[in-house]
Amino acid sequence: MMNKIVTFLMIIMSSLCSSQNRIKGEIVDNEKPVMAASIILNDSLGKIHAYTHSDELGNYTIIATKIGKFTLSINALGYEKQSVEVFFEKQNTEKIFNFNLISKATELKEVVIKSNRPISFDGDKVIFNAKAFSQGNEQVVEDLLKKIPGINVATDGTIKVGNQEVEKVMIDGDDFFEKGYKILTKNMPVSPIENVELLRKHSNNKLLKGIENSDKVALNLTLKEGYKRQLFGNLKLG
Amino acid sequence: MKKIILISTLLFSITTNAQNRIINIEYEVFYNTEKPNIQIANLFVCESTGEAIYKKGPAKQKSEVEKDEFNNLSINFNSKKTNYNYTNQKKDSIFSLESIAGEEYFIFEKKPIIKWELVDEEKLIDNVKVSKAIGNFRGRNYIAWYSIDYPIPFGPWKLHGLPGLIFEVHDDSKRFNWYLKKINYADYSADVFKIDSKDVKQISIQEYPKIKYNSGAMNEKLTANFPRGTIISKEVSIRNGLEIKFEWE
Repeated sequence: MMNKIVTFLMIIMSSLCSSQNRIKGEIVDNEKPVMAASIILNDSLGKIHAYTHSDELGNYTIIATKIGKFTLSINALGYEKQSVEVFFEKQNTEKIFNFNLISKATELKEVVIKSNRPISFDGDKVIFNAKAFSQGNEQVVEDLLKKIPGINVATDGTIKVGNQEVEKVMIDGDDFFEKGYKILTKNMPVSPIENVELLRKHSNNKLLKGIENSDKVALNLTLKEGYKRQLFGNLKLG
Repeated sequence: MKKIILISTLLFSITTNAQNRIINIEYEVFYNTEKPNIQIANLFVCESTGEAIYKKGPAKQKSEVEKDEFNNLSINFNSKKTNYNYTNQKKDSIFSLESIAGEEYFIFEKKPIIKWELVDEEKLIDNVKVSKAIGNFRGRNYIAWYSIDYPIPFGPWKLHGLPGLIFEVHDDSKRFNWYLKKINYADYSADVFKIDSKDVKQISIQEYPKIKYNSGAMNEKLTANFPRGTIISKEVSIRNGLEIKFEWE
């Protein structure tokens, strides 16, 4: 009796486990195998369901864990992209799709990326691009600073970099509050902020910069172009 | 007629050799570490041979021993050879050259498989459409943005296996950040993929964490550089490199 129950359970389990549909095939260029071609299976909603790469013999296997309509796309460098519709009516079926790739007439463009980096360095300055670190729900400067790696904001608003409290928080190089920076960080809106600059080896006296062996740290908030003149009007205190 | 066929076959074979070219992908790498710095690294890929080599550009080291604002001592070692990671798809392996505390090591490993999770999110980098993927590799979570229009299965360092070339990738703590700077083509040259392991200690990946994260003994070379009178009171081994947890740990 026990044996029958075990066998019964095993049959059920095996059919539950393998609700897989398999696609396999070979990708060649006039009989020469194409290695490392990118194979992507998109579902009927256009989302990527599975992906794989062809091996050195040009062979691939890709699994669909459900039934329905799929699009199988093959993309390899130097070749034209190819797609085919695949329809699985039932589970546990296997289909074979082989591809003969055609060389692409035009080469893939050379690229130079010019856009802004989220983090950049300039001497002792680390520059964080505000837009790259904001998630959209920040209201005051303090909220943005909490999202920047390396900057810690305590519940009372004390800003520390590592273990060290910042000397000041400047705006475009001007300091209005010194150690009373919390008035600024707890009230100023984030929208005018372009970059948050972290200044290491900061000297309170500009003339001493580089001369006094400072271990002080300061923050400088740079403003976006359109906001530079509006600053004093928009600062609401309390 | 035969001459025409002969000439056109020769021409055809010359043009198809254009496939045997190298793609040079240059990355800007931001190390948001205790001593933040930027370096340039190049990923060279040869599609026809299935080889990729990731080479770090020359690092500019200043002085040997530096003291920072928290009174931490950092000791810089200049590397004699270029550090690289060479991936061979046919042999399913990665060979790396890395300098650890002034010594060079040649590390061999079977190419690890990263299970990337493809996320349904896209963005534009300049005018290239990239999609998001998340993967975990040796103790760190990486967020990558890749482009299907560049179906290159290799990525910077050891971050391979996505359906397209990685344009941006960073770990979730933003300590290690790669940004693609440019892609261009070059003629094939075997020298680019030649790996130099002469006079270098050869180790397997299993031995690597013990050497990199020197648990316990400070080696002589390190202590030789300390200022006179330094007393070592406590040795703490913190893992803060790229690979912090290995498959067998």
